[in-house]
Amino acid sequence: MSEMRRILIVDDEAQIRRFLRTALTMNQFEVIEAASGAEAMEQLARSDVSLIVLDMQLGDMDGLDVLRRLREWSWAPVIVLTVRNREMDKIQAFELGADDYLTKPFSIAEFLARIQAVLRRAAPAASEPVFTVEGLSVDLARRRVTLNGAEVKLTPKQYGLLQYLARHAGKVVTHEQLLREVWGAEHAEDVHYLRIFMRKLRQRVERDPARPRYIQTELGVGYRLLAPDQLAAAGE
Amino acid sequence: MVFRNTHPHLGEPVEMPPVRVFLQSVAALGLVVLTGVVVFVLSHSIRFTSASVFFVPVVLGAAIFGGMIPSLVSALSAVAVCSFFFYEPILSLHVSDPQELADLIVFAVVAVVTSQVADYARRAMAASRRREAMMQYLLDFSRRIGAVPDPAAIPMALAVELGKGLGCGVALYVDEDGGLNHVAQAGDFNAGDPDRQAQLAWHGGAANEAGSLPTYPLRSGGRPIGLAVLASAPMSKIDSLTVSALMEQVAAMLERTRLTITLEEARIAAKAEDLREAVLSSISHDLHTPLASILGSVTTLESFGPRCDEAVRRDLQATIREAAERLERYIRKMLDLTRIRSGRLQPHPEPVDVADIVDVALRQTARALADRPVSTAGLFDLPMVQADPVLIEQALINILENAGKYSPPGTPIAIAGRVDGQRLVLSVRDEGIGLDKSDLGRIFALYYRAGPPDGQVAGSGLGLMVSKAFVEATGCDIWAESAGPGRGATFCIGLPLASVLQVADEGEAI
Repeated sequence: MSEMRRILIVDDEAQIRRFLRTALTMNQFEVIEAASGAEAMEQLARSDVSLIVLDMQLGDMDGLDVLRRLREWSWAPVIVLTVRNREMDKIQAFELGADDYLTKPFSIAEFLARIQAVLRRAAPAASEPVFTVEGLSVDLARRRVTLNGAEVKLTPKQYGLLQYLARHAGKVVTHEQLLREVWGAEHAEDVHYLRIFMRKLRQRVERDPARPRYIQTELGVGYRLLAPDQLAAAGE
Repeated sequence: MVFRNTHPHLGEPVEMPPVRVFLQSVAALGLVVLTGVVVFVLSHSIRFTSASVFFVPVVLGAAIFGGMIPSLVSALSAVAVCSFFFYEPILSLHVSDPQELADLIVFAVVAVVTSQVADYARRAMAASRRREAMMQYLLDFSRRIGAVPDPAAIPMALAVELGKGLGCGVALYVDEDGGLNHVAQAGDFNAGDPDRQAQLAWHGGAANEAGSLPTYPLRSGGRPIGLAVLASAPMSKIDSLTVSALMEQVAAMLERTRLTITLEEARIAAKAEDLREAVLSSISHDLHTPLASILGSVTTLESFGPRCDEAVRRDLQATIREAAERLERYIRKMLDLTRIRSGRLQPHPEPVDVADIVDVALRQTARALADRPVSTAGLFDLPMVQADPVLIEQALINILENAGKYSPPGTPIAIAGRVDGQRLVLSVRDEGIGLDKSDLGRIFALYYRAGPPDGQVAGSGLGLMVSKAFVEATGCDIWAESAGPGRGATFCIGLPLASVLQVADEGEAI
């Protein structure tokens, strides 16, 4: 299963499919294509895929509808392709179970990095008891956080935030998801809670909290704790 | 100048009401009788030749204060009293002495003529006071309308003033765009239907049928331009002359307003045309230039690629990439502009840290600012602001790209923030070409570019305009500061502070 590297590209633009296919094939992926939502459903019914790249604007149906329908029975990771200024689309996509997004236009290096990151995460990660990225490690079993070997003291809420981000490392977690998880459903709208606690959390775990390395802000959407490969791609 | 006259019915009326004339006539009669009694009493102690002389002041007084009828009443009654009581034979209207008869006739003639002259003078004075009051009212009326700054608000002001002046509801109609349009209404029409009335009157129907509302044509230069429909007849104190003078003035003002608005529309249309021209030429330039680079480089690679050495190929590829990125930036701004223009900008303000916004904007502009040291000292310690983070981020990206464009490579860019009263001022300072004082205000205008128009810097002239629109849409403001050309520029965004929020962080370290 982990050896399968088949990727489904769903985009109605043939030129986009062509260059994505080229780049993916060069990186030893098997590529299948769909030009419409309906075709995507057929392809998925016919063959197992390890990842789906889904454009949000398809000719025949909304990308969000495709995502909703395929999530009824498929757990393959999904990277959605959006255009700028569609924050609501992004939030909805994450809530429907998308794993990451890319804003068009994007460079192929960025695209491949996201693919690798999502695939690596999709494998066994969830069961690992200790999440480590560079100097930061979160021991999910023992509820211990260390930074460069030194223990970091966190309040329960701060730890709650960090462990939720660590369990979804590399993925964008929406404000609402975090608020529901850490404060409960009645606070799902209280974005300022997050802002205040994220500030405190960053003060404890980031070297320069004004230019965070580990926890990145996705404005208007949520936060992302970078996975090790993403951090490496972000560079020093 | 104080507006004294809010109503056109100051000054006494020219025509006295009949009741008043009757009462004054009775008073004049009483005065004559009283004078008769006094003269009769005096005649026992003093000798005088002509009793009629004593009645002259009474007649004059009646003429001045009462007018013609009371003065005639007093004159006739004085003649009767004299002949009855003072001229032989006493207690008879018959006068026997020819000298006394002449005396009485002269008195009668003088009294009648005097009453006529006095009455004429009184009427003339009342009429002139009235005219003056009316002129003053009309003058004040036009001054009050002239004080309305917005031409679009003038019809309403006219209706209100006219309603106050006439003491009834007013609806104004103007003939425009091939139909009679309701332009303003003040006061209550109760059950009346001014629209129907106006349409009927305008199309020559039965304007004044039973139960209809009083309707006045509005004319300008003899041409009918509309109608005024009143809820009821004007106050009885206002004469028809004043009403028609008012209507004339209303018509003139409506016409002037229409012309002003037409001129303004023409001016805006001309400006829009200029803008379209500018947009078209900019699109042509800003889309064609990078496209030309891309096509040129790609075709070069196709034709000569295998023969070029590696460095040249890399150069051509870099050109393609840069041109494509430039196209992307331009299209992004055009889309932003379209969103602004179509009113589809829906800000979602929330409490947010400016440090977060700045961090995201810097990640987006990392390539554009790759060779510049960027400082963000102190941002993390600032309080939260209330704004749409995405709009502010995009405004900031444009400002940062701008700073990169207009400052030499290697010079620093300083991002800083300070609290100023109820807001936070975020500033981006570069050490670039700077701005002239006159540029500071214009720099946010569409297609404005600092420096020579054919300068080396590639820019669309859209970025700052988009920034301004985005920042203002989310309740913030933006401005530029500069010590002068060559001395760098600072762009500032003022963001309202978020209300102080406290959230319990219970529990100690784990």
